[in-house]
Amino acid sequence: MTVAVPLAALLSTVPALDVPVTHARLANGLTVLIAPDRTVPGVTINLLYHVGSKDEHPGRTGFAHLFEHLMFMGARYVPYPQFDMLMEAGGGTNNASTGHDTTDYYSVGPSNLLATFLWMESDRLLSLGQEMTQEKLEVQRKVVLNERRETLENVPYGKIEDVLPPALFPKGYPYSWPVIGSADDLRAATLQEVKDFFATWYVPSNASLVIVGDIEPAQALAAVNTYFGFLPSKPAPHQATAAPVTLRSEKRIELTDKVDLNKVVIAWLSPPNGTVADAACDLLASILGRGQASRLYQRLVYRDQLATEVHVQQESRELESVFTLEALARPGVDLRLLEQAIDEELQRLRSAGPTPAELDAARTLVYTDAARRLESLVSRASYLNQLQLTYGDGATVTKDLARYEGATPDSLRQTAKQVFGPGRVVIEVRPEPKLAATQEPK
Amino acid sequence: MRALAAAVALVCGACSFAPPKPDLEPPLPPAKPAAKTKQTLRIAGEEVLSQRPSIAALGPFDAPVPALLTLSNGLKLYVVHRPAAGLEAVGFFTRRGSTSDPAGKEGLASLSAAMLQSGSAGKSQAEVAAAADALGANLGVEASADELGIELSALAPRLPQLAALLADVALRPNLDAKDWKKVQAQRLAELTAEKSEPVSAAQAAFLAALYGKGPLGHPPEGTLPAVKRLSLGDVKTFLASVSPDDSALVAVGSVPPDQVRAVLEGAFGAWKASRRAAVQPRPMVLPSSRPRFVLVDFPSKPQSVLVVGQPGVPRSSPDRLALTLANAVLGGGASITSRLNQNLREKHGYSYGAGSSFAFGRGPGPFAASTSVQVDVTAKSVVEVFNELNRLVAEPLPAEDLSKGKALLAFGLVERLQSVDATVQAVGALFIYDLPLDEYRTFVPRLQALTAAAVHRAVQRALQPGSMTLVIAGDEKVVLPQLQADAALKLPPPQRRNAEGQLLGRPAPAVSGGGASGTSQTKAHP
Repeated sequence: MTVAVPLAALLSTVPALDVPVTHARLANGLTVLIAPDRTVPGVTINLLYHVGSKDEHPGRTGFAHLFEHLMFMGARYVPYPQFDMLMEAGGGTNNASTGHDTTDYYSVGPSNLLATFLWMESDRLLSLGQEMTQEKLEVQRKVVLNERRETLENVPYGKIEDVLPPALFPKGYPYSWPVIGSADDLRAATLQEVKDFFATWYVPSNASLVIVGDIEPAQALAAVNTYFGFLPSKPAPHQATAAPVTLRSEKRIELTDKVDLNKVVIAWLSPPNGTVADAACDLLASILGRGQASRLYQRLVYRDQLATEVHVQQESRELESVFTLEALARPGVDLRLLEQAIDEELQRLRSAGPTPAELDAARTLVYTDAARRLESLVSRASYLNQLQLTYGDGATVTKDLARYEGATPDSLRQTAKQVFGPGRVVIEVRPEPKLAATQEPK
Repeated sequence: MRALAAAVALVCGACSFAPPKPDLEPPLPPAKPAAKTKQTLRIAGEEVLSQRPSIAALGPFDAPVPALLTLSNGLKLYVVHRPAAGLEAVGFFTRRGSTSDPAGKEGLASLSAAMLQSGSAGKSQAEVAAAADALGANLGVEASADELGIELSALAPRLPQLAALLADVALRPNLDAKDWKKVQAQRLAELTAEKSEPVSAAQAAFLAALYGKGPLGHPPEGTLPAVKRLSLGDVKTFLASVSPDDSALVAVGSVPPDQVRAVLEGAFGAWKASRRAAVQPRPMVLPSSRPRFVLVDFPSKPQSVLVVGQPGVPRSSPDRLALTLANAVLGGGASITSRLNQNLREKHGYSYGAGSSFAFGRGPGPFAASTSVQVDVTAKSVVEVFNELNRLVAEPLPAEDLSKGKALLAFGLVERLQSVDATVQAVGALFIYDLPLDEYRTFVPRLQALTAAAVHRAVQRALQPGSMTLVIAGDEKVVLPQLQADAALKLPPPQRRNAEGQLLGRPAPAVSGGGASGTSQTKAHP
């Protein structure tokens, strides 16, 4: 059954793909995108700051994310804990996330909260640094150290997250540490550093604001002007840069953990976010590891029963992306056997490329996923802000998807050949020897 | 990430929402600048921030009321028409889930679901998966406590192919012996992997401690010993219980209802019930006693996973909405201002987040408060969790908590019903639990009618902190002395269980087997 979806068919089926977006830039440099949607009585705002863990300094890893937490500790007109209290009292909620390249903050709630959301965001952009205190820093330092424990230290195989970045990138490279940072660095962060970070990175010209929901664009833009127009213009910070890097040969790392099964992670450097080659890597990741028809699921999990699960991902980033392949072994399966089967599948893709049907399916999944990403207010706003960051003014969903339109089995074969080269990091995790005899169930 | 959505996959088939009514909004306190102890640099124009924005009245949220149609064989079809969606999602739901697993065959519903995904209508497992990919669909087949569900979505013009694939998967599984061996081995490997995961371990031990060998006493995925014993014959018996009488279809998206019905009639209209002996839902009976303190040892882990709770109430309970509201204030959803988050995260810094949930199902699924805390403050954290539970039972919700809970739940419904896939799940719950078609439409008015006194009475009926069960998955040699030294806790000696929830060591007083109750419930953890 071949039902490949051309991009044009997608566009005619999903009206939201071409949803009109009002674009504006305030005198202070703040970028504003407004996308009305009258079908739900809600509104979301997504405020993205172009700063992430890449902009930290060695010795202060994890700082951008710690800072994200401090953004909720109150400012001049909405002191702690009013940000959350006022928002939730009206039915709104919020969250934020920090990546290698960006930090974004969203609030979502009934559409009558739009002005409240803008007011609170403006207040913290105006005054967070001046209102920061040692006590506030200590509260969130504890929370973040607990976050590190809960999402990394207490999790099976969590230590891979600490080990992979410095193996992939040379010392000092902006991606050579994990976003969560090291516990020692988090403990070392000072109040003055928080204030300096805020003054440098949290300026209107380094931010873009997306509003999606049941609002009238002209009124929403007027509200943005009211709450953000008075903020003074400040120079845009210098983004981290780095000379191109390559991995010339394979690096192997062997770890042990409190686990029952072996696991292997293989990672390569790959083309940066927003490029056609980045899109090709997305398609390769899908062909290799998405769903039960994918090559590695079929070979490792279903046919040979060497693996319990397989995950493959192109992690798109601004300077250099990372292509990762993870396989959790079946009980008793030797990792070398698992790796040999993975390498055979990679070699097959490098030499013959995917079939036309595999490519069609992978591309149809990309298009359909884009439509799904536009369904909820929060994910649509996040997507629009990512597009603005990646492509600049005039970015559209169609422009993003057009990168996938020209891929052919042969172009993917060539990308596979370039990306899955000998320069890679292989991390093997094996169970720690059991210290004491374990109790048996009665 | 600032916060993990607090946990607890609320199997809340019917939590609903609507925007808060303006007259119930909290009064607006005047915004006051923070007290200054230092000279502050002011910027021209910032005065605009000194006034808190007004909040206008909102119109009502007309949550969807599905149309209920019937195919020629009696199969129910629920349709929600969303012209602008561009997508169409279809689901097949049947009233058999892990609470129908016979005793000793824990995991049967879930493995039967996996077999539905392992080849159908003569097509191999790989061919079925490739067909779903070609449509852009994510095929999901899953058994939870009270249902077996199959769901997939694609661009709306693909509905005919989606319907054909759904019917193949639901009605014509190959049930091949070679595929069964693979599915069983795969599940055993997954369960082995979970043994090193403290959150899964705490959950498995909690269910086993609360419900014993009853229908709710195990995770839907099953247990290693039970899965080893299962056979393809068991799966065939289970799947014979899937019949038009106990099943329904749901479609949500751009395709008009009459077209949806025509397509699904073609795919499902000729289906007849099997005449084989089938698995019947098990009666929901609770064990007569429960341990109060359970330990799962994870040596040298930096955190302890805590779960505190008891059997809750079934979905049919008249207290369900009131308890949903109380839970929103205690530890629900994405609320940072919830009592558990304010206490354990913001005030004490013990945790990244804490949450709570009721799993309302066919039977009294668990109420659970849960969190992960630094191992050296485990006992203090347990005390704080109980402090919050005791406060909830002792005092009616203050007006601002009541109002906030209503506002959060109301908008939570709006958010929950945004995507076609999530709406299929929500509508499927109407069938599984026999709820009215206008369940979501009436959610907000019913919510707004709740008084603090009514919520308090419901909490007092449902929750007894003094007899709740505490499960800790963490480093026993660090945790146990702390807990024993804490006079406020007065815990009995621990019952020890392994990561799969099985009792260890000397036989403890028997947790009386018998049936337990049943309802859904996946992981009750942040």
